[in-house]
Amino acid sequence: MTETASLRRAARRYRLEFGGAMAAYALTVLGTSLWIDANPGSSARLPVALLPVIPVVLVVVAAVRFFRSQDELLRRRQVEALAFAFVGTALAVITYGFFETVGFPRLSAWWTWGTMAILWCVGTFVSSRRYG
Amino acid sequence: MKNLLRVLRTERGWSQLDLAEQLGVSRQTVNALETERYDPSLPLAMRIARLFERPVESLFFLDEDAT
Repeated sequence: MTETASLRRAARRYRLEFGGAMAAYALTVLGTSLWIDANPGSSARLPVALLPVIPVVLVVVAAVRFFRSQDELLRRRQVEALAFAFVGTALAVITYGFFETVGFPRLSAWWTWGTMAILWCVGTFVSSRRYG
Repeated sequence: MKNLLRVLRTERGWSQLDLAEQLGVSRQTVNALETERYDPSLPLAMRIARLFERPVESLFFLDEDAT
């Protein structure tokens, strides 16, 4: 055993909640994409297109519950990682915005999340190294 | 800050995991405390002091006081 029983329980619960929410996300993305393609003129396209947001909210709920189950150092590490991702994403997005003014292609908003996710991982690694 | 956590833990024959369970924190936190990479919050410092039955100020020292 490398970690306490309560943390192992919290991690197991998070894996279950996260895995379930991501499975629901994959199913709703697939289902709504097929439905939208099959119903090009429907007025329900927007609400249907938004359905995958529901499992994303469940992922957020699982992440918040997991965060709150952590002790003070693990929470600090996560806050530092999130701050790193927030600032890094802001710099990247603002910088690329200026690139666009001189002709670089306009990028999808999805890139913002992708950038933040990558920087969150980098920040988590840096923070975990810092505190050992 | 400096601290005596590792000394007191090993005196009692506890592993880092044993101490973490008793303090209600992660083993990683005990390790970060022992290697002095992380200073505990006041509530955690007081829990540590209570567990080892010593005053907080005899467990934790400012760097300049440890020399």
